[in-house]
Amino acid sequence: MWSQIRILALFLGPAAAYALVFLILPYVSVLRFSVWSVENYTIHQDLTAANYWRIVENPLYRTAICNSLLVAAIVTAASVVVGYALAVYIAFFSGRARSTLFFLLVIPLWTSFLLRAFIWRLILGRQGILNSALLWTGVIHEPLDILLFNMFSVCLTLTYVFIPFVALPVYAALEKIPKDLIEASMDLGGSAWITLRRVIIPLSLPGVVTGAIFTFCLSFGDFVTPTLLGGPDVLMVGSIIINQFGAAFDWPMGSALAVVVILIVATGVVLATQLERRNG
Amino acid sequence: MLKSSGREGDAIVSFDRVEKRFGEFVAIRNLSLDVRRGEFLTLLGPSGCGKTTTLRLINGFELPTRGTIAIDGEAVSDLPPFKRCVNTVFQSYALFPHLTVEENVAYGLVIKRMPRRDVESRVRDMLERVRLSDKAKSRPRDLSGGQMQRVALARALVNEPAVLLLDEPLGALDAKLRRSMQFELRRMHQDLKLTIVCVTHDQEEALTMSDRIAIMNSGDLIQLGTPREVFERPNSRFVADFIGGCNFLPGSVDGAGVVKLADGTPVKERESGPPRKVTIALRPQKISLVSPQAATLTAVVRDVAYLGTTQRVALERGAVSLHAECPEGGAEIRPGTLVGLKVDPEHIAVFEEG
Repeated sequence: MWSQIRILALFLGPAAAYALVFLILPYVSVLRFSVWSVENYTIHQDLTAANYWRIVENPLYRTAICNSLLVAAIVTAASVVVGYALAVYIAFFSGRARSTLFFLLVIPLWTSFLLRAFIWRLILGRQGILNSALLWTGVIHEPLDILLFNMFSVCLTLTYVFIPFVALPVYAALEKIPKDLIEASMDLGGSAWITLRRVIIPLSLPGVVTGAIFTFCLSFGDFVTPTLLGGPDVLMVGSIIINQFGAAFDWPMGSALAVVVILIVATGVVLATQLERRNG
Repeated sequence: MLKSSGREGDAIVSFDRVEKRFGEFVAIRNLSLDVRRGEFLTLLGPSGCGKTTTLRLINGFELPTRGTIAIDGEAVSDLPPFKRCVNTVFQSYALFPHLTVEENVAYGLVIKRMPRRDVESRVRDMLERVRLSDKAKSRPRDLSGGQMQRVALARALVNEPAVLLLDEPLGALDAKLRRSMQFELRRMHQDLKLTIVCVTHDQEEALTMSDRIAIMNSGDLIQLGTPREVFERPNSRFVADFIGGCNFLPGSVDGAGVVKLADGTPVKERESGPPRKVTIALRPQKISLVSPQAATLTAVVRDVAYLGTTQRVALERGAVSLHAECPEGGAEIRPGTLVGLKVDPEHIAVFEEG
C-alpha cells in the first residue's frame, strides 16, 4: 500500500507543487499585500482595509475600472461577431482553401503580442498606411488625428488581437457538429440562414463562450495596449496596477486593485458558464 | 408542402436518363425510373451500387450530372433540398441534440411558420401515432435506438411530404426490433397512404416491406419488380444471387433446347436455339433431398447445419459444391452419404452468362 502511495505522490507531486507555487501562493500573497499599507516607501504589515476604501472613494479608480469594463465589453462583442463569422466561413464555405485559411488564422498567435499591438501604431499614425491611403484618394486633406491614442485605437487593436482567440474554439465547435444535422435541418425546410440560427449557433455556443471568456478576461486587465495606443485619456486598471508596482511603489494598493480585477473577471466567468449551462 | 394531388399509381418521382458522376467516378449510369404514387419502393443492392446516391438525388443533396428528375410533375433539378416536398429519415436519425423530442418533431412546422396551436396538435397526434407521447419532453440522448428512430420518423411524417425517404432505416436495430419495425413501417405506409422510397442492403427487409424492389449494382438498375417477381424470376445471375442466394452450376444448352449440366445430365428443356454455354441456377430452398435411386441428379452430403426449423446441407458433385435448405425433421441426413436432388424444372433458372 505504501508503494502505491509513493507512486501516486510521484505522479501528483509535480502537479501539486506547480499548483501550490504558481497558483495558490501568488493568490495568497496578493491577498495579503492588499490588506497592508505603505508609508515612506516601507511596507507596514498591520491589517487594514484602507486600500479598498480608497478604490471605492477615489473617482480615478472608478474611472479606470469602468474604462476597462467598457473596453473589455466592446472588444469581446466585436471579437465574437467577427471571430464567429470567420470561423463559419472557414468551416463551411472555404472549400479547398480551408487548411490554408486555418493556418493563416493561427500564425499570428505565434507572433509576439507586443509586436501585434505596436503595428497598429504604424497603421493608425499620422504617417501610417490608413492616413496615407485616405490622403492619396483625396477623401481627406489633412491626416486624421482621431485614429490613434484613444479608446477607438485600443478597442480596434485588442479586437484584432483577440479574433483568433474566438475563431479557434468556435471553429473546433463547428467541426464537431455532425454534418447530417445540417442536412436534416435543410431536409425539413430550413434555408442556410435558418439552419445557422436554429442548429449551428446553438450547438457552437460553448465555443463562443470559451472565446468570449478568454477575450473578456485578457482584455480587461491589459496594460500594454493602452500604454502603446491609449494616450492620456484611456486610463485602464491594468496600467494603474503596473504603476503601483513600479514607480508609485504602493504594492498593497496594486494588490488591492488586482484583487478587484480578479473578482470582476471571476464574476464574468461564472456568469458565462451559468448562461451556458442553462442553455443546455 | 402540399399533399400531392395526383391519382394513385401515376409517377410521383421520375428519373429520366439520369447520370451522376463524382469526378471520374460514375455513381449512377443512365437511370430511368418511375416511383408510383402511394407505393413502397425499395432500392436494394450491395454497398457502392448507387442506391444512396439515388436517394440523395430525390431529396436534393446531390444534383444530377445529366438527365432530369421530376417530383410531382415538376422538374426539380435545381431545387435545393429545403424547397422540395420530400422528407428524409437519415441513417443516423440526425435528431437535434439541443431540442426536446417535441421540438424536434415540430421543427419543420415551426420553420413554415405554422400557428403554434396547430403545431402543438399535429405534434401531439404524431407522437401518439409513434407511441412516444410520454417522451415528448425528453432529449434525444435519453432515448433508445428504436425510440430515436420513431422520433426521426415522426419528424419527417408530420410535414406530410409527397415522398418519404428512408435511408437504411433499420440498420442500427437488433434483429427482433428490426422485424417489428418492418411491420410497423408497412402498416404506417398503408394507413397514411404515403409514397415511400427506402434504401437498404438487406434483402429480407426489402422483401417484407416493399410493393416493388429496384435492384442496383455498380450504378445500374438491374431489375425492377414486385418481391415475388424478383425472387422467382430473377433476370440475371446477380439478382438471383443477391436475393435469396443461389447455387450456380456451369452447363450448356444444345441445339434442341435441352439444358444440361457440365457432365451431361439433362435438367430442363427450353425452346431450341444455338448451342451455347449457360449458367444454371438452383435455389437452395427449392431442392428436395430424396433417395439416390429416385432422381437423375445425385450428390454427396458433405456437412449438415442445424438452423432450427430448417437445415442447410452442403453437397458435392465432383468438383462442384452446392447447398440445399430443407425442412428439419424427417430422415436424418448424414455426411458422406449419397442423396438424390429433386428440383421442379419450373424453379431452375438459366442465365445466358456462360
